[in-house]
Parts: sequence; structure tokens; C-alpha cells
Amino acid sequence: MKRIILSMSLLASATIGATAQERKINFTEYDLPNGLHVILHEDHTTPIVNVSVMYHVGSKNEDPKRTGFAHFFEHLMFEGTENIGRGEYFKMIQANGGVLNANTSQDRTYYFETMPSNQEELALWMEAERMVHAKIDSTGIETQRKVVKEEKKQSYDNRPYGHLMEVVFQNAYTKHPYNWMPIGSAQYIDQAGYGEFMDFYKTFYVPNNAVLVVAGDIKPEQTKKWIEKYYGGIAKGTKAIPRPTEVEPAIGQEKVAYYYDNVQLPAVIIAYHIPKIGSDDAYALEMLNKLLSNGSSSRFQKEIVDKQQKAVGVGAFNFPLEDNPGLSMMFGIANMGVDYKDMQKSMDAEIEKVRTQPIGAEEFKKLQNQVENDFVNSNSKIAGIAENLATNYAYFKNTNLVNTELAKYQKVTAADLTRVAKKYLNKDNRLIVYYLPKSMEKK
Amino acid sequence: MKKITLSIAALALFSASFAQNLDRSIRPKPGPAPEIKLGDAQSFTLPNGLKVFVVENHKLPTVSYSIQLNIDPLEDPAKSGLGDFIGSLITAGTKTMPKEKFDEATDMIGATLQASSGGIFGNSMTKHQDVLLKLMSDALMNADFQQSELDKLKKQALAGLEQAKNEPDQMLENVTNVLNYGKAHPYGIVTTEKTVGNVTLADCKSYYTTYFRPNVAYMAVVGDITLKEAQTLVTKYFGKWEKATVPSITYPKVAAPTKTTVDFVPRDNAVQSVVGVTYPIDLKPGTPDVIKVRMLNEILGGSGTGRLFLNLREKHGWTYGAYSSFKNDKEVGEFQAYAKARNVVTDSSVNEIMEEMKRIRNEKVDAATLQDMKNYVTGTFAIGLESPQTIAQYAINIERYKMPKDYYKNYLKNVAAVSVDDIQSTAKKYVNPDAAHILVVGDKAEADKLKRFAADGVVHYYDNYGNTVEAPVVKAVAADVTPQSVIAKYIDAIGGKAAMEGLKSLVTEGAAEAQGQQIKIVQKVVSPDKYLMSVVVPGMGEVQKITVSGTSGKMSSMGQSQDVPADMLGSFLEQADLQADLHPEKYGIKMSMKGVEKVEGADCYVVEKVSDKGSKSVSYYDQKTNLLLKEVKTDASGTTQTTLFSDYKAVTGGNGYKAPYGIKIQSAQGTQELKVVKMEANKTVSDSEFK
Repeated sequence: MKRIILSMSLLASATIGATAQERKINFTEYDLPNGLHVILHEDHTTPIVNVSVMYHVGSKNEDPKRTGFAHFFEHLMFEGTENIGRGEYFKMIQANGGVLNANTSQDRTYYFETMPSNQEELALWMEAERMVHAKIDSTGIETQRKVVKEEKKQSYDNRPYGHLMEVVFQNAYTKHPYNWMPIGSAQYIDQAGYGEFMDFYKTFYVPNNAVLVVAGDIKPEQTKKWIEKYYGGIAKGTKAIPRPTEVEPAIGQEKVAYYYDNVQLPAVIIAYHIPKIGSDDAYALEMLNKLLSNGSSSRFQKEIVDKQQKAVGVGAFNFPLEDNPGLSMMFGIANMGVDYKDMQKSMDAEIEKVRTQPIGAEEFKKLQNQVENDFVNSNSKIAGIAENLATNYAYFKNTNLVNTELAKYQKVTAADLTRVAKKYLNKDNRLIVYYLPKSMEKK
Repeated sequence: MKKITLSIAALALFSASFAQNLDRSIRPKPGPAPEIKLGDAQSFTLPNGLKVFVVENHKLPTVSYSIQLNIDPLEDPAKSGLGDFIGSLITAGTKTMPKEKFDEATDMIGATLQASSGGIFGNSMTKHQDVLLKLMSDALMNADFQQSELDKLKKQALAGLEQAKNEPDQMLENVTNVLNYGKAHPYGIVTTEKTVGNVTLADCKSYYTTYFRPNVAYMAVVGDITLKEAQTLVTKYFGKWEKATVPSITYPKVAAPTKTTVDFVPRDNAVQSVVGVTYPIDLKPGTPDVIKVRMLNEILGGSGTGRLFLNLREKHGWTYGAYSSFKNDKEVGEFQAYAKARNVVTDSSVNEIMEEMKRIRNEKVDAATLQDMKNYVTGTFAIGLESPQTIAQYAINIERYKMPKDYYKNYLKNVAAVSVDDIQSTAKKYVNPDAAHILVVGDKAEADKLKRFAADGVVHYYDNYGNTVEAPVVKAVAADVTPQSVIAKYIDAIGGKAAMEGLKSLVTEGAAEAQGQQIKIVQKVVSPDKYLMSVVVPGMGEVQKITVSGTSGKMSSMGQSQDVPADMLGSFLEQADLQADLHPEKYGIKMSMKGVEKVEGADCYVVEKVSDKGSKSVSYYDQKTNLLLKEVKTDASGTTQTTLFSDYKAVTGGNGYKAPYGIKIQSAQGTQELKVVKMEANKTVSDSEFK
């Protein structure tokens, strides 16, 4: 009993020591000769470890005749490996006390496990299995074809406004492969042959196209040895890794698209081409979006939802895209009995206001506080820190952005917000999507 | 020199060959299990009785304050739903700060502030905590309840209830609560439109002043703060919170079933059955059985590696998921085994669930499986500790449920100690396939097949609020009753064949309300082939119009118009034919008698009409009045819509022809009520109106 009390007070003093320092996220990083980028982050607060691998491949690397391929591939990667039987991947993590998942975006595919820290080597071995010899066979392909179709039904086809993003991206991009969403088309996955899957694996699932992050209760020297053991011998990819080169033309003049779905209330989406994430103007635009829609007192919320009651919901955000141009989106869902064009007028009025009228000091201060709060909370869990580290390296080769990003927001001034509003929130740079109930459809 | 070079080369060679010779089939063994350090919460109590638990965690410069009320509120069953309004009302402005200012101030510091009927939660960066606490304590002590806010919330609640009426999981939950706890128990109270309608602002205020008191509250302060700072701040902001005597009720005793019953909630147009095998259990938080039951549940159906999932989904492919749960509670807990299965495998799914319940009682579980589950529980326990909130919650649980002080410290030790024999003896105590409610929400056609599971051999029927109802299909139809005879009587009841044959035109004006908006609907028909419908919303004008004349038609909506597609034209033409009931064969309709069922208490003949175009409709004719009360239409694409008819009245100029003035349409989008304001027959309508 006494010993417990003692160790508790030691713990307390250790954490107080940490307060005095800056809350910096420490990490080490290096490359293996085969090109695998490794990032280690040590934090002994909880006896858990996060092992994750980010492959720099997403739906933008797909053949337009094979959309949905990268996401489908992510599913295949749970089917097993030469040394892990079918269906065992999930069970093995769970039976060893861990949780796991994966996801695919336009730009990358991310796999992650959180385990008790004494299972670190197992997780490293399992991710290496996936990288070196995942099992790709007809049984797995057939199974996952069914599963992905159910996922598409459940998450997109059968969900109100489930096709919204698809319609926006289809119209916002004409040349760049951001034209389609990661879920893609089920039909193309049915057409894909075994050779294509192997080719995709050998092109993109190679160490020189991946970032490995090990974070949490680790001993870096031991971790490095295990990484050398399981990853050192994986051959570097020999194929060229294709990246999209298509240049998306400017929108030029306001573009309008209609889409009819099983929804009850019409929605209006206004989307603008903006610079890709990480650029100075993208940070300013993100703050501008918060000004419009973050919190009960934000402009869209207060004006359009509370006062005018023209909308039941509003929002504004930047879509995190690695390539140019990025996309800033605003949306409103019209209240019952309100003409959606009328709601759009109110949205336009607010947009015009940020373009033409300066933002007051008080409101700007609020924005800065919100940004700071959101930034701080984005690094609250080991799993979140690991993903931020991986993303910052994969996109920007700047892992330390995890510590310096707040400064990028703090550099933005109120005048910058007006400037970027004027520069990007123009009618000739926007797409409007009317997402309407089927009953309004004309044929 | 040469030697050194050589050895470097050898080294390089060595590491390369080391990599190539790695036997990847060897699975790494785990290292020694890490010590899972469970931090302690520090605590103090204010003179007003507020018990505060502080967990310091300086990883992030943020702090959260959460207040949980330890109350057993007296709930008026007639005002159920009240609790859902309290939280929103508390954060909608205070006596000194209107809602707009309150929102502004919360956003200014980037904070989160939310309340419920059981407490309030706030979170912000440490440097803004003074402002956060000012807002939070103001809301807690001086919330300014406004009628307009309550009205807004009630409207939202009614819309939600409407959507939930046909929502199978909600139906299952309502009836489960009634079956397990009884309507006299607070856990068995069901919220309806009526009970929501009964809630007044005074009720909400009274709840707030009665139950939001420091002497029944626990507060967790978690994050970047020291005990001393917490003491100073909490005293400053919550010291003035006045204590008061808070009434507490004694819950009635709950009776578990002694035999297994089959309970069925019929749901029109169901494509899946929702199955819940359930009964109340006596399992209080912190008792030794809780951990054993947790392990038992992991094996039976806690997750995607549980037996129910492996059996019903992986082996049989009947369902997307099947799970079990044992809820512990200081009053009365609950067991449930749950699955959503395709209609035709409803009874098979029930059978497998019952078999798994028997198996876990009768057979010892495999030791390796138990070990896997222990590992999973241990791992997720450790992962849960990453959030400092967990420690605070553990401290509050220990206090609130009077659990042993070292309950959570010993949790994993007790998990590790659970044996194969423990699982079996625990299963014998808590898994009761012979004394359970087998509750199914689904297509009534599946109900009879479930009889074999009931000790009394009977299926008990309920509506979605847990009221007993008569079996929907029971009575046989006399041999001389045919669809034709039923429809002939119906035609007599609405004025007779002559009146119907004499109908040339019918003009109907109706009104509907949707979210506070009055919508006007006009329908004009000139038999046999002219049809018009127009929908007008005030302030927006005519939002929709359909006109059909002979073989062509037009639809317009919001200023855009198009031709009526060929496949829709037929159904409008049928509506344009005021004599359609006299010659169903003209529309390729084949009729059959389906039996007798109740519609809102009235015995009805059920007539199914199938058209050669692939659509189907089921009509319910009242045995006593012969009137059509209900119609369930399914179009060729499978979309269904249920319409209820009431208030039959003579139509002006119709020579005795009667029509329903009350119409209620239920579809996947919810329920829409329509009142006929005016109906006139045989009025001259110009042909030009249909162009």
C-alpha cells in the first residue's frame, strides 16, 4: 500500500515537471535504406502503443475506369497474409488486447492499431506482413466485393444526402482525378482482374511509398531493432509511382448542377476552388469558414438558422486535399416551406459581407480562440498524434508541422480574411449544387 | 585496413542475409505485461454538499468540468419527454444574459458547454476557465426558461416521435421497457405525442429548481489544473449554489418472467424482423458478478467475435450483426440478445439465439477463447485509461454506487481470475432461455411460426407503445364473403352504385400542416380521364402541379415542367376515373380475400388487389360500416405508402355520394395529415384547366 502511494506521488511530480516544459510533441524520424520513412514518438502516460502505416496512395491514383480501387484494396488488406490466415487479422489484434481500423481518402490510405505496449512487436510484424506479402486471391476479392457493396449501400445510397460529396467533386473537378470519390463505382471493382490488383500492390504498397509511425509507450532503441528486423529486408519498389499530373482549369464562370435524391428538404452547396492544404491562404480560408459556421454565434448559424429560420442546418469548411486546387464548401439545408433559392440569397449576403466589410477585432479574437482550442484538442490522444505525424510527413515532408501549425494560423490577420474572401469567394470561381427532393425532379 | 574493410563488408552482408533469412512465420511473443497504472482522483466537498473529484493531467492545456446529478426523479408518466427538454433550456440564456449573448460568450473562448436532465458539462482551454465557469454556474443557477424555446423544442420532439413511430428499433425499445419493467416503473414509461404535449414550462422550471442541487451532485474536474486551483475556482463559482432537500422515490419491484413468452409487434411493410430476447436481471454496479458477467457476455455476443455473431452472421448469413448485453443498474438491470434478420429467417434466428443461450449454460467454454477475451478486455481497459475522464468517472462510480474503494484497481486482477467454471455458473444464474420475453418487431406473417418457442403456445401482440392489442389476423371469413361482395357493400355505404355512376366531376380542397406551414392542396377530376393536382405554399405560390388529360400529362415544380412519364400516367388515369371501383378489371386488377384484421379497434375485411403492372394494394373495409379505413399501396419498385381514411361525409352535389374528409398518409418519410376543407361533385370544370 505504501509503495503505491509513493509511486503515485512520483507520478504526480513527473507530470508537474512536464507542465513546466512547453507542450511540444517530441519525435525522431529516419529512413530505412529501402525508403520506408519511420517516425517514433515516445509517451509513457498510458501503457499503450499505436502502430500505423500511411501509404501515399488514394483514389486520385486510380484509373478513371477503375474508380473505388484504392478503397477496395484497403479491404483486401485485411483478408490475411502468407502467415496470417483469412479472417485472422482482426481476431489476432483483438485477442491480443488491441483495436484496429483503416481508411482511404483521395490522397492516402491509412492503417492503424492501438495495442497494450507489450504487443508492440506483434503489431509491427503484422503491418510488415501486410507490406511484404498480403494474400490477394479470388476468395478474398469475391468476399470483399460483397462487403464493399453493402458498405456503399449503407453509407451512401441509403443515407440522406449520401451522394452530396460525389456530386460536388464530380462537378468541381473536370480534369483532376479528384473528380470521383474514394468509394468509386462498384461496377468497376467487379471488372477489375487479378493482375490489376497485383500490379497496384507492387506499385503503391512498397516501403518507399509508406510512412511507419510507432507512438506511445515505447523504448525507441528496441523499436528501431524490431523495425530493422521486420522492415529492413523488404525490397524497395521497382516500379515508378505515378502521381496525377492533370492540371485542373479554373472554373471560369459560375457553374450550376442539380441532383435529385430521396431527401425531404432541399440543400444548396456552394463550392470554391482554393489553394491546397498547408498554403497560407488555405489557413486563412479555414478561419473564414469558422467565422461563418463554427458555434451557435457564428454568422450563418445566428443569421440564417436562428433569426431568419431559413435553414435547418448550415456549414462551411475546407476539404483537406493534398493537390491544387483544394475545395472550400458551404452548405445549407432549407427549412420546411422555404424556397431554397431564398436561403441561398441569405448565404450569398453573408458571403458578400465577408468580402466587403472588415471583420471586427472582437469577432476576430473569437476566431483565434476557437482555432487555438481546436488545434490543442487535435493532439489529445496517441492515435491522433500518430496520424498527424504521418500526414505531415506524407504530404509536406515536414513532420514538425505538428508543433508549428498553430503559428501558421496565428500569422493570419483580420485583413487577410477579407483579402482571401475577395480573392477566392467569387462567383466566377464557384460551383453551386442544388441537392433536391425527387419530387422536384424534371425529366 | 583491409581487415576492417572486409569486416564492414561482412557486416553488410550479414545484415542483408539476416533480413533474407528472417522466418516471417514466427509470430512475436508479447513482452511482459505492462503495469497498468490507475491514477487516483483527489476529492473535496463544498459546504453546500457538492462533492468534487479532481484528476490532474497536464498533457494538454485544457480543463473540463462535469456535474452529474445522483437523483431518482419522480416522473409523471403523463408528461414523459420532459427530461429531453431540460438540457437545451438550461443553456438557452440566463436571467442576466439572453441566448444570443450567452452563445457569443461561449464561442468567444472556443468552449463546449452542454447540459442534460442529469447534469452539465463544460470544456475549454485552462486560460479561459474563469469565463467557462462563469457561464456554467450562471446556467446552473440562473437559467431563464423561455416559452418560445420550449415551443421550439416540443415541435422538434413531435417530429422525432413521428419518425420513430415506424422505426423498428424504437418500437423494440418501447415494448422491451414495458415488458421488462411494467408501465408503473420509471424505466417503463413511454413517451408519446400526448405526453410531450402535456409538458409545460412550469414543469421544466420545477424540475430544474428541484433536482439541480449541489447536495445531490458530483463534479469531476479533469485536466490541466491542480487540486488547490480547483478548490479555489469551484468554491468561487459553485459555493453559492444553494442546497435543498431533493425528493427521491422508491422504485417499485420488477417481476421477471417465469416462463418464456413470445411477444410480437406487427409492423406494416417490414422487410426485416428485429429480434430481442430479453428479461430484467438483478445485477448491481460494483458487485462481484459484474466482471464475470462481462466475460460471459464477451463470449456469448459482446462483439464481432462473440458466438451470436459467428453463428447468425458468419455461419448463416442471416443478419448484418447479432449481439448480447447485460446491463447492470442500481435498481434493475437487463439482458438482451439482439439481431435484425430477413423476414423468412425470423424463426430460425430466434431458434439459434435460444440454442446459444442454452449452450453457454450447458457446455463449458473453451479455455483459449476465454483467454482471448480476457486479453481483449484487458487491452481496451488500458486504452480507456488514456482519457483522464475515465479516472474521474471511476471515482464517481465508486462513490455513487458505494463500490469497494479498490474496485477498478483490482479490475484486471479479477478479470484474470475468471475461470471456465465461473462462466458456466454465471451463465446458469443470468442466462435464462426458459424465462424470457422473445420480442419481435416485424411482418405479422412471421408471427405464427414463433408459437413453438412460447411456454403457453400463444403469440402476444403489442402496439408500438407496449399496449396489448388483439392478434391482427385471427378471424376466418365466412364462405359467402368475397372481395366482390365486400366492395359492393362498400359502394352502397358511400352512396350506392347509381350515385357513383352519376359522378362526372369532383373538386376537392384540402389543407395540410407541415412544420408550422399551412399547405393548400387542390384536386380536380373530370371522369374518366382528366386530372389536376396543385400544391400551394403561402409565400411561395404553387410549388407543384400535375395535369393529365387523356393520354398525356404535365408535371411542374418550382417553375420547371416536364411530361408525365408513361409509367406514372396509368396511376393518374385510374385516379381520374371516378367509377374505377365499379370495374377493377379495366386496370388489370385481380382481387383476393386475405382475412379479417383490426384497424384502430375495428374488425375489417382485408382485400388484396394486385395489378398486372406489378403494383399491389391491400384494402381494409370495416365489417360494421363497410367503409374503407385503410389502404397499403406498394408500387412496382417496392415503395410502400399507408393511407388511413376517416370522417366520411356526403359530398356537395354528389346525390348522396360520400367521401373521407380525414386522410392520414404514412410513408418512409413520416406521417402527413390532410384535412378536406371542401368537396364538390358534378361542378363544371373547364377542359382548359387540364392543359
